[in-house]
Amino acid sequence: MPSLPYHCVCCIIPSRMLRQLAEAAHASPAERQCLLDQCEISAHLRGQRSVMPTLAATQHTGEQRRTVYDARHKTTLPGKVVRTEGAAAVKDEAVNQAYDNAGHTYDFFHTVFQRNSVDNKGLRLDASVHYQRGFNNAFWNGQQMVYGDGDGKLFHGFTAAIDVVAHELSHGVTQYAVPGGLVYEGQSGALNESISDVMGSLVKQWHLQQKAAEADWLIGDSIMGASVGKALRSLADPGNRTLTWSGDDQPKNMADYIQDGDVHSNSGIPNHAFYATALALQGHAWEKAGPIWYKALGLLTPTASFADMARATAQAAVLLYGNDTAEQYAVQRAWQLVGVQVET
Amino acid sequence: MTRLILRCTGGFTGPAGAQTRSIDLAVLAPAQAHRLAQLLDASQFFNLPEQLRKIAPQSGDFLYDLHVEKDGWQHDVHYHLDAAPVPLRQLTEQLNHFPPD
Repeated sequence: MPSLPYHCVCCIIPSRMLRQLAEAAHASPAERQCLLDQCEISAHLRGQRSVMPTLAATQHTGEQRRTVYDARHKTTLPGKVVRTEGAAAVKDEAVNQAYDNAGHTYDFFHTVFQRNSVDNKGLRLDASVHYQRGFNNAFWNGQQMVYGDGDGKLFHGFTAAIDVVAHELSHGVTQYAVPGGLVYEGQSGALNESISDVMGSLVKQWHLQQKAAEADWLIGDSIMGASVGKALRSLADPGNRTLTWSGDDQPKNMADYIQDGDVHSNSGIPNHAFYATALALQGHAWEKAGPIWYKALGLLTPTASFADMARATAQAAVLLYGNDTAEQYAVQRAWQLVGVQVET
Repeated sequence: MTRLILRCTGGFTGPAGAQTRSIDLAVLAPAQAHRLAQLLDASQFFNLPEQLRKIAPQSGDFLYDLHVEKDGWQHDVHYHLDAAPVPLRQLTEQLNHFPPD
């Protein structure tokens, strides 16, 4: 393959803009091809659709519409359609799990927050299962959910866990509900992760009709191999390896904040703030604490810090329940518990 | 001797699900080894900065660490795909086809 000129790399230009540049009249054939190559490679490596069919992915249906694809252990997405909305269950259990758990998550957001899908405009819910071979992960690629099967040792199939599916769909909700989304690095990245853990746990509790005091507050407890651990993260006690796994390094207080740490680590701090709020308010976590966190999303900016989230949730509590209320104080005390100063 | 070690983290599992692929070009079929060596050269890997981070990454942006040892030299690059030059992205795609360690 011929070497491409280094100046051709456009690190931060979105694919849509690259395509527009390629189509511009002043672009030479070589430049045009180079720009299109970048779109295609980037999209492919992110596990996204090829460049052209993206319109179908962004259709707004105004009603729940799930489509599950089989990636057939490859990285090209979405793969082959294997189940559509309303169709009967198929033999492949991963397909049915992805379908059912996306439905539970949609129902949760619709019933509890009156939100119509990921974008609140009825965006269709697409998911691909059997991504790569032995892939120990699941992710939201900005357009759809993608699930691996796990390697059978560290992790099992990711579709089986309702909190995993809800976690990934909630990344989509954050993408739309926070104006400009939440940048996935530093404290805003840890908040992004935390919001998905919070919503993942809420969907699980809602599905099981558990009160806050009854819930296990674990994330990924049904996907880990027994030799590795019991769960990936705990909102009740972040970093407690007897509850989770041997490498859990999540802090639950700013005193232990990991500078330049992974977003999956420092998310323990806001995770624990939500847990403390939910426990203080008693009852079902989705009835008071959940709406406060959800309403706060619209008050954030893309580079929000933990302090910004503390302020936003305190404001949301006032907007929903008023000043000098138990809800407002519960939020303030929870953030103080994890070492984040609440500035109002 | 050329040896490549690619580590990938991100997604739901984060560091817990990080997967590493170690590839020694000497043990590959000649055509496959040649293809990877070409991409490595085209990426000018040993001249790349240690960090190639995307501005404003999103949750679907995985982080890659590629360690390369070649003829007594070694270099590490930490990158998001969108911030990597095209040959490095293509190399990453090829390496991702190998089974994890």
